[in-house]
Amino acid sequence: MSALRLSFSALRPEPVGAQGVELVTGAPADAQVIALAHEDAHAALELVYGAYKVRVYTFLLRFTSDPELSDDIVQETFTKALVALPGFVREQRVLPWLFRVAHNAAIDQLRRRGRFRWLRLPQLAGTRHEPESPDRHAAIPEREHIETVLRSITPENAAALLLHALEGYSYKEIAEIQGCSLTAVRSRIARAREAFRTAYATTDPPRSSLG
Amino acid sequence: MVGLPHCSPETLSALLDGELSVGERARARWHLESCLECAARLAASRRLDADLRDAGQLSCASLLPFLSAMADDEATAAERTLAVAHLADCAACRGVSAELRGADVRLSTLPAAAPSARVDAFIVALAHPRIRRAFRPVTFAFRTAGALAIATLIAIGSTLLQVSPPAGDQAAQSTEVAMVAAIQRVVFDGHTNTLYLLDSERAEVSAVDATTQSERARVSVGGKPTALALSASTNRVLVLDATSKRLTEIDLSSHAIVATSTLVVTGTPTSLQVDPTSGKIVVASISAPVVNAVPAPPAAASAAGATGHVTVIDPVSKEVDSVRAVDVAPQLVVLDAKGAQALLISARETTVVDAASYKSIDQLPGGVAAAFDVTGAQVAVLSADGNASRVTFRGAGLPASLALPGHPVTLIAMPSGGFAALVDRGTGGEIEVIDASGHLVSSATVVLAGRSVTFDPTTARFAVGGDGGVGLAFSGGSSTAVTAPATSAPPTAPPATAPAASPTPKPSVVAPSPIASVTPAAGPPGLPPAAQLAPNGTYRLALADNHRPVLLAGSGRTVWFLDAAKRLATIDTTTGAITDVAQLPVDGTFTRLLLGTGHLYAVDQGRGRLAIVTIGTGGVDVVGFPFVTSAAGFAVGIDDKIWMAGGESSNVVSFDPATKRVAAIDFRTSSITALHVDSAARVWYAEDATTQALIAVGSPRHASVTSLVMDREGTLWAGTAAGELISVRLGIAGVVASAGGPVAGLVRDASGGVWSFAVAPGTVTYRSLTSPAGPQIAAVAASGLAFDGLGRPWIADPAGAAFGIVVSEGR
Repeated sequence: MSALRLSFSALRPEPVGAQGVELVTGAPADAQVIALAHEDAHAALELVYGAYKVRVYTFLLRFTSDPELSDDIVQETFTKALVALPGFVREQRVLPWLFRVAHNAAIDQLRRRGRFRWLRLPQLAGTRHEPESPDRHAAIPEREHIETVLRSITPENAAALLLHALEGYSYKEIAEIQGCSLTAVRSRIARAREAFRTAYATTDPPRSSLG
Repeated sequence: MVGLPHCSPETLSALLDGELSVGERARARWHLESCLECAARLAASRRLDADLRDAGQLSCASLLPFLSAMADDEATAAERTLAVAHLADCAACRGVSAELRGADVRLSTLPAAAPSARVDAFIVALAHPRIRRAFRPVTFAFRTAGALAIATLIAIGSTLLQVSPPAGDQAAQSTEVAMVAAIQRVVFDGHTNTLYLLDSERAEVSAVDATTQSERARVSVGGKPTALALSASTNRVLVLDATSKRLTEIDLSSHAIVATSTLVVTGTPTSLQVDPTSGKIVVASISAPVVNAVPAPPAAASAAGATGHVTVIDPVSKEVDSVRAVDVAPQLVVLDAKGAQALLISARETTVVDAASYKSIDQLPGGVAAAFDVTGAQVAVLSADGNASRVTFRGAGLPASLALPGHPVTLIAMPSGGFAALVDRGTGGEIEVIDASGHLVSSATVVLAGRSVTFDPTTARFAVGGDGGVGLAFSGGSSTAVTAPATSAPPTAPPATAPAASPTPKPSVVAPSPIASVTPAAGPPGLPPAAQLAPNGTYRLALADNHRPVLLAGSGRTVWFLDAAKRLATIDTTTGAITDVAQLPVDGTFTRLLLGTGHLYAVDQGRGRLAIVTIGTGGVDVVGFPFVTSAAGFAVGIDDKIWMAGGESSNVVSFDPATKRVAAIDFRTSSITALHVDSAARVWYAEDATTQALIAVGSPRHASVTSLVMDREGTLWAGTAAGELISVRLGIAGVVASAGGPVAGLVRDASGGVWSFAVAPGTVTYRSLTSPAGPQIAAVAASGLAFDGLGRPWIADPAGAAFGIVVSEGR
């Protein structure tokens, strides 16, 4: 195994942004991950997990508002990645694939949960909290409000907006992740934004000057 | 068409864009023909498209997607033109447009978060696969939802993981605890028949099978470990590093380090004990030298300043419960088995103190080791007496002292009463067994492989070792010296002694006289003396009092059984002693016994009720199945709650015996056939053949899962009515083996291994799912199966009013 790791270290990118944007996030280049996966899927998994776990988990946590469920889906997603990575072709992209798997699992779970919404036992709350943000002015109520609005939107719409707002994916990429048409993505994002706009318009006291 | 779902906006949009498949298009058109609402929405969309083409006026609502897309630079040139034209005339839309991206801003203010440590640990384990992969010869991935479909996520909270010592568990007063006497570098876990040996130099703890003497595991703990202690209540070996005051905890089942913590202890820790009654950790320490500006007089300082502390630490939180300053410098603290008294041992004196207040009760001479006997009424102190040793006694019916040849090494209490002293005779070690009247009854020479002694009552052998980690030596019978790593000869062993690290077993260890009080039972070690070898190759333990065992539960030293007369009793698998616990309703048809931490559940499927027995008191509550009238799957979680599901109801119900509270969760499936609650308090269920996941993937024969159990490694095992055994791990399922018949049950043994058993008339087929051994067949009419502490199956034979016990080689 050490031989494989050695050959990987030769592939490893220079640590600081010598090659542009992708390295700024600390993420390895997809081509390198895939090359590694062809040699040693387990090493590739470790690399991919370290690089993307926060992004995938954050997306899921926003999407589901459920740390436990997000944990489980992250686990499932990366477990699948171990099997799938060696089959990736060179041009394939890793993170969108992870998002697609996580997205589909989450939608599936939310659908199930929709049927038995009261499965959310009281004990679930407080099992493990996400990291607190610095306690800015009214930060916590704001966060709760955002989560409430997110939960009121259909999962597909919320996911599309989250992928766009958190990850900066283009409509085309989101269409690939969600497995839908461009038109649908456009409509989903617009609806999600409109839901936010109306929620804040109705619950916030009107600001002194608008627009 | 009534009852058909409306077309989604996406469908309509895709229909207009020609992006639907032939089938979808046909379905949509069919629906549109009969649904005015959808037809109207399609017409509106068409108008929108027409508007676009004609560059005409748009309604505000239909403009929204364009505005949104434009804000993201995702609008086409035509869309942009339209939108800009509209915005110029419409103040409302200008307002909307300005606010649209507020959602994005708000979302991006939310903090990032990382998955929990359990996921990290899982992925690390996944990325570093271990040898266990050999057990998954057939693997295939679930479809997307598969793994989650059976892993229904009912987390009940991490507080459940706090383990409290189970009341009434015989393990709490098991023999090995009373024997701890010196600074232990060897401890013996009777439940798994494992010796734990500390190698201080290499900073490793080695787990050695006490029977086969093969090494089971080696755990690197780092630092400079000085002492071991066995914590029965937490199922861990504790490793003390006196220099850094670090406590490392090793799980006895997985042999993994599960916790490290820094002890808040004054001075330098000298010994580590686990209080057998409370499970609390007791650390003796001697005070750090007081740093004075004026140098202390050299000789007087050590004597005058020689004081110490005894610190009691909570085993779970590692917080200090109490600290007692004592006016001796204890090298060692020894607790009696009841936790009533303690000995503070130093070279100058041994103080008997009250274990609660640490007030002095009596003074005895100082020494190298001391111990209470098993009753706590007698004390023996081993000390040097010139070139020889002396054992000083305290207690009724004992002489004042007993002289022994050789240098004193250590002293332990014997589980059957009396003591055993290890002395260094110059040519090797000798173990002197002293009875409860203070007389020497036997002695056995032993390779002095270390300065710690432990006694294994099942094999009636002593193990000596733990000094610098060079080896172990066993006394008695045909046993031989065994060793751990050959680094160097034991520093204390004289050159004449055969090195313990010798690669070939040497018959250098002999037991010249049998030890009367611990004569091994007839038959294989660890079985009750009354067990007789039967013609069919199994041992047979006939039960008195017309006990005809039907159902079994538990594993390890105590096995619970329900007999044909509905009497509930326990049997000690080493002594055969039976304790009647309770009489359950005689009109019940009991099908399952499930053992929790504080309660035992007997499932009366005939009458749809549970008999709940409080362990310790034996009190019985009979309650009807809460919420449901019948159920197929049952499981007990580590929080002692019972879960049940199946039958005609779609509810999965939990019942808490402490609060009598019932929680019901509607899973919308009444086809649940088996349940399991894992140690993370998640409920796993198997659905019947018609549904998805486990069965559809795992059981080619579409058979019902009859039993679900998770092993120590976290692999979930399912046994089916068609005799298939299926493993599920990391979302990957495989049909692993055949059980040899419909799976009657899956059982966990004391070390977390899982066994299946299948019952046919007159025989039982059982096989380990967690070791490579193949199926084994015993010619015993069986109704239940459990495992003793040595992993041997105990088979309930109701017709013969007996237990069949299978003793196979190699375990």
